[in-house]
Amino acid sequence: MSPLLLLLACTANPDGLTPGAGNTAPVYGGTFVYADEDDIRTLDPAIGYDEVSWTAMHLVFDQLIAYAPDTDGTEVRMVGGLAESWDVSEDGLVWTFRLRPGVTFHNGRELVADDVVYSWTRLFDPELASPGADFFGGISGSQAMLDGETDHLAGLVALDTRTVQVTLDAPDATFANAVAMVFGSVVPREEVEARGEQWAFSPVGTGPFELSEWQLGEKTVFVADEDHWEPGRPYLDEIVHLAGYPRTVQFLKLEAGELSQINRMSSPDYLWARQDERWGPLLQEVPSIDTYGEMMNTELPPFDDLAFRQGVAASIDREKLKKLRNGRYRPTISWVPPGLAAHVEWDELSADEQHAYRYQRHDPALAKQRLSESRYMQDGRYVGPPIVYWALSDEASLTTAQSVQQDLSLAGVPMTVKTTTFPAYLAAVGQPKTVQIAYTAWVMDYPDPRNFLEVIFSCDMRAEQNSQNTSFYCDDETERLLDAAAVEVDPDVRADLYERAQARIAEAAPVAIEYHSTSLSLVQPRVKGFRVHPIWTRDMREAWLDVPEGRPTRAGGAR
Amino acid sequence: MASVALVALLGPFLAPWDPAVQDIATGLDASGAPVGPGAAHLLGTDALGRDVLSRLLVGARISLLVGFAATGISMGIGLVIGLVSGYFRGIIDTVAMRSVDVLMSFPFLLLCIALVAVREPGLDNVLLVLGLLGWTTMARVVRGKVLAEREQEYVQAARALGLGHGRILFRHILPNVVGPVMVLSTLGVASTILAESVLSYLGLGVPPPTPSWGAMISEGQAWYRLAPGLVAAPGLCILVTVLGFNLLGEGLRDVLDPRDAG
Amino acid sequence: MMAFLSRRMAWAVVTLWLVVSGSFVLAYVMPASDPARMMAGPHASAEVVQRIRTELYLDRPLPEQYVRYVGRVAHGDLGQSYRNKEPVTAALARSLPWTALIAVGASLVQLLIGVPIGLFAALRRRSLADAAAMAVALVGISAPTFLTGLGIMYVFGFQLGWFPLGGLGDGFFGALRSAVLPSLTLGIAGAAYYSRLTRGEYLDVASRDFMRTARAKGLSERLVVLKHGMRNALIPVVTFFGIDLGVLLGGAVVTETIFAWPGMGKLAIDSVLQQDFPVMLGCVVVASAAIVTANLVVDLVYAWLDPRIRLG
Repeated sequence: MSPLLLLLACTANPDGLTPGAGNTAPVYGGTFVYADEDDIRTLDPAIGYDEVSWTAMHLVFDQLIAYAPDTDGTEVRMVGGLAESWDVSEDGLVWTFRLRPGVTFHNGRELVADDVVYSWTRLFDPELASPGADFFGGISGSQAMLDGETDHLAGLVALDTRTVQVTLDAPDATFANAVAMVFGSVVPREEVEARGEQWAFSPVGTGPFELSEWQLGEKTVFVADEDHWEPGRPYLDEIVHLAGYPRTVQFLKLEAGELSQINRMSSPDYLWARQDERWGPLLQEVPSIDTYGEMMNTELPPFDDLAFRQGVAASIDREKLKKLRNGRYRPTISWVPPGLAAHVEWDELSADEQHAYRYQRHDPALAKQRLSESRYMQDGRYVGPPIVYWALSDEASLTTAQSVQQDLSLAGVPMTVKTTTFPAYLAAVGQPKTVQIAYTAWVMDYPDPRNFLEVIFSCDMRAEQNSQNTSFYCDDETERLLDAAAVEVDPDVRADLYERAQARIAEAAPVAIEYHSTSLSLVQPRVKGFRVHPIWTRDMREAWLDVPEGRPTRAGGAR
Repeated sequence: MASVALVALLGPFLAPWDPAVQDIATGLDASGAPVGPGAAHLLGTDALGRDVLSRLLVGARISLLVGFAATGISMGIGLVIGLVSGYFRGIIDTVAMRSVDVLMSFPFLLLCIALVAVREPGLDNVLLVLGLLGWTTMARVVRGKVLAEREQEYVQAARALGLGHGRILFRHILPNVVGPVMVLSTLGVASTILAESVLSYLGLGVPPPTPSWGAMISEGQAWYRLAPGLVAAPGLCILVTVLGFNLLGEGLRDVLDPRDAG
Repeated sequence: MMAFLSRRMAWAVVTLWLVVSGSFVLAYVMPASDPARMMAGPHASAEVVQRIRTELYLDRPLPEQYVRYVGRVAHGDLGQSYRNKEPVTAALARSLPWTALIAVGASLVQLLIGVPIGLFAALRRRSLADAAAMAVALVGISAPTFLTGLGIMYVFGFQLGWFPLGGLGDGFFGALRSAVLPSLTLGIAGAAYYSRLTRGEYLDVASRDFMRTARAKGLSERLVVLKHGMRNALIPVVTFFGIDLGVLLGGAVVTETIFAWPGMGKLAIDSVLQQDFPVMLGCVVVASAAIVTANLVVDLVYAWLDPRIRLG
C-alpha cells in the first residue's frame, strides 16, 4: 500500500468491541454518519487504494475470503466470505474456491463462478492499471495479460457455476490475503460494461449496503440492501459519509451529536477527550499494524555510508517521540509490527540477536562513535553535502521531522526540513537519487511480514519511477532470504526466514525504525456493534443504533 | 513600532532559549502537553516543548522580513506604475493597466497557493510570490487617485505654468496620493503577514522549525481549547504590529496631506 | 459609451486569453511531474503512459501543446481530473454555485457592515466611537481567516448550536442556513477592510474644496454627506469591490476548508495538494473569468460615478 494513505487499526479491546456496549439486542433502523478529511476517491474496487475508499467499498462489495469478526490485534483470522470453503493443493500451487449458493448482486442476479473470473481478470487490464495486479500477480499467465499479449488469464478458470480454480506460478502463503483485499471484490460484468466511465461512481456489488447517492466532494449515502442474500438486511437503514472535514471540526461535530464516530484526532483534541468525563470513558485506543521511521537513501551521500546511517538511526530519541505524541506511539526496533510473524522485541532477544538491532534504539554514545567513524564527519563536525529531510505537512509528520532534526543537531549533524504535498512527496521518494532522507510510514495492505519486508527492501522493488523501495537498499543475502520466504509454505520456517532478513535490514539501517502508532476511535454511546478494523478501518456492517432515529441528533444526550 | 523593529533586530539575542530546542524534561507535562507560563519558560512552551517567548522573539524577524520585503517589492512596483500610467495615460497606461488586469484576474491567494505548490514551499518562494503578485492593488488605486488629481485645478494650473512632468508628478501629485499609499502599505504589511500564515496553515509556508508568527498560529490553532496561549501570543504579536503600522500610516497621513490639517 | 463598452469587452477577452496562457505555464511548463504519468496513475505500464502522452499531444513541442490547449479551453474542454477522471467542467459546475452563494453572502456582510461603520467613524472622527470602531475593524483585519472561522464555528455552531458545524445543509433553506457561518467568516475581514477604506476615503473627500463649497452653499449636512461625500468616497470602494471578488475567491479557499463547504475554493486547494493540475487550472480559469467580468462591470460603474474620467 502506499505508505501513509492508510492508518489501519485493529482492536485490542477484548471485551465488547464497542465502548459502552450494553446488553440491548440489536435494533433495526437509523443512520450512521461519519466524516473524513478526504472524499472517497473511487468505488471501483479494482482501482481504490486508500483508506477512505476501502472503508466505503467494504459496505458495497464482498470478497471470497473475509476477515473473521473476532479479528484482533494479535491474530488476524480469515474465514469464508463469498466462498464457503477453499482448499490448496499439496504443492501450494492450485487453489480451489467453492462459492456460497444463493448470493445475489444488488441488481438481483445470482453470483456465479464466471463473475469471479471476470473480476480478477479485470485487474490485469493494462488500460485499467489496477494496483491490485501486484497482489494477484502470482496467478499463472498474468504477466502475459499485463503485457497485452492476451486477454485471457490462463491460471484462472471456472470449473462449474460454483467452483473457481486458480493456478499460481509458485507457492504463495499470502495469496489468501490478496483474495481478501478489496481488489478481490466480485463485480457483475454486465453492470461494469453498461456503466463504462460511470462505474466507479455507481457501483453494484453483493455487500449489505448499496450506493444511493454520491455528491462528489460533499457526501455519499449508502442504504441497506433490503433483499440482501444472507444473513438478511443490515441493522442500519443508512450510512452517510461526509467529505472534507478537518479533524478539529470532526471532533466538534461528534460532541454536537452530528457524527456517530470519529477516528482521527489531533493531539489536543485527544488530550481534551481523555480528560473529559463524558468522552474519556468512550475513547478507544487500538494499536495499528504499521511502522514509522526514516528512509535513508543508500545511493545518496551522506547516507551511502553505512556508519553514517547507523549513527543517524541510533541518534533518534524514540521515547521523546512517544512523549510528543502523548504516549500514543510504541517505540520499536522491529520493522514488522507486533502481532505478525517475525516481529521482535528487544527484551526477548538473546544478546547475540540484539547485536543486529543495536542501532535501532536511541543510544547517543554508540551514535557518536559510529558517526565519528563515518567519512562524512571530521573532528565531530559534519562535512558532507547539505541534508534535506522530506516531510509532509500533517501534524504527525511535522512532529517527527522536527524532533529528528533536533536529535541530529545534538549529534552534530545539521539538516533542513522540507515539507511538501503528498503526491510530490511520493513522486520524489520513488525516484532514484532524489531524496536523501524522508519521513516514512508503512501501513499494511495485509497482515503479513512479506508486506512489510519484501515490498520495501527487496532489490526487485527498486524502480526508476514510483519505486516502492525508497531507500534503494539491495543486499544479496537479504534478497535470498526474502525470495526463500515468499515461496515457503511452512509457517515456522517462513517466520524464521523473515526474521533473519529483518535482522540484516535493521543492521544495515536503510531505515531508522522508530515506532508503531496507535489509532483512536470515539463512538457515540448509542452506537453499538461498530468495530475498529485492521483492514477496513471502520466496520459498520453489523452496527446498530440503540434508539432508532432518522439521524444521530444531539444524542448522546448529555451536553 | 520602534520596539517591534528593535525586537526584530535583537530578538535572536534576547531569546532565552534556542527557538528550535525541545525541552523535553520541563517543557512538556507528563501527558506530553505543552506547559503554561512558568519560571523556565516565561510564556510556556508549544506542542514540541519549545519556548514560546523565544520563538516569538525570533519569529518577529521572520514575519517582519516577509511583511516588509514582500510589501516593499509590491508597493514600490505598484506606486511607480500607478503614478506613471495615471499621469501619462496613453499607451503606457494601457499596457500597465492591462498587465494589472491580467494579474488581478487571477485570484491572488489561489495563485499564490498554486505557485508555491508548483515551486516549493520555503521562505524565498513565499516572499517572492507575495511580493511579485501583490503590487496590482496599489497600482490601481494610485492610478485612480492620480486620474482624479490630474483633473484638479492646481495640476491644470501647474501645467499651464509649463512645469515639467517630473515636477508636477512628484511635487504636486505624489503628496496627494500619499494618503492612500500609506494606508495601503500599512495594511499591505499586515495582509502579507497574514497571507504567509494562510500559506503556513495550508502547509505551504515557511518550513519548520522556522518560527514565523503565522506558522506559530497555524501550529497552535488546534490547541485553542487546551492552550489558547499558543494562538493568542502570536496573534497578539501580529495585532500589535499591524496596529503599529496603521497608527504610523495615519500619523504620516496627517503630516503629509497638505489639506488635511483638521 | 458603446465604443467604450465594446473596447472593454475586447480587452476582457484578451485578458482571459492571457490568463489561460499563464495557467498553461503554471500547470504544464513549471511542474516537474509528468502529466501523462499523473493521469495514468502510478501503476500503469510504460506503454499506457506513452499512449496517453501521444493522445494528449504531450510529446509534441510546447508551442503546439499550447495552441491545442488554448483551442480546447476555447471549446469549453478543461480536461479530466488526474485523481478520479471526472471532467473538470463537471467538477466546476457542481462547486461554483456554492462558492457563489457564500461570496454573495460575504459581499452583503461587507457592504452592510463595513461601509456604515466606516461612515459612522468618519463622521465622528477622533471620538471614542471612532477609535473603538477602528480598533474592532483592526482586529477583524488582523485575524487570519482560519482563526475567525474556527472561532465563529465554535461560538455559533457549537456553543450556541444555531448553525450546523460545517457542510452543506439539505434542501433550499438547509443550504441557506449552512451558508451563514461561512459567509460571515468570508466577509468579516472584508467588512473591516471596507470600514477603514470608507472612513479614510470619506475623510479625504470631506476636506476637499467642493465639499466646503457645498457646505458654504448652505446645503444640509445630510445632503452634503450623502450626495457629495459618499459619492466620491465610494469610487475607491467600488474599485475594491471588483478586486474583492478575487480576494473572496482566495479567502474561500480557507473558509471552505474549515467549513467543509463543497465549493470551488475547496476544490482548488484539494487539487493543489493532490497536484491535480487540470482541476487546479480549471479553478484558476473560471475564477479569473469571474473576476474579468466583475472588473468590466466595475469599470462601467466607475465611469458612471466619476464622469470626469474621460471615456475616450
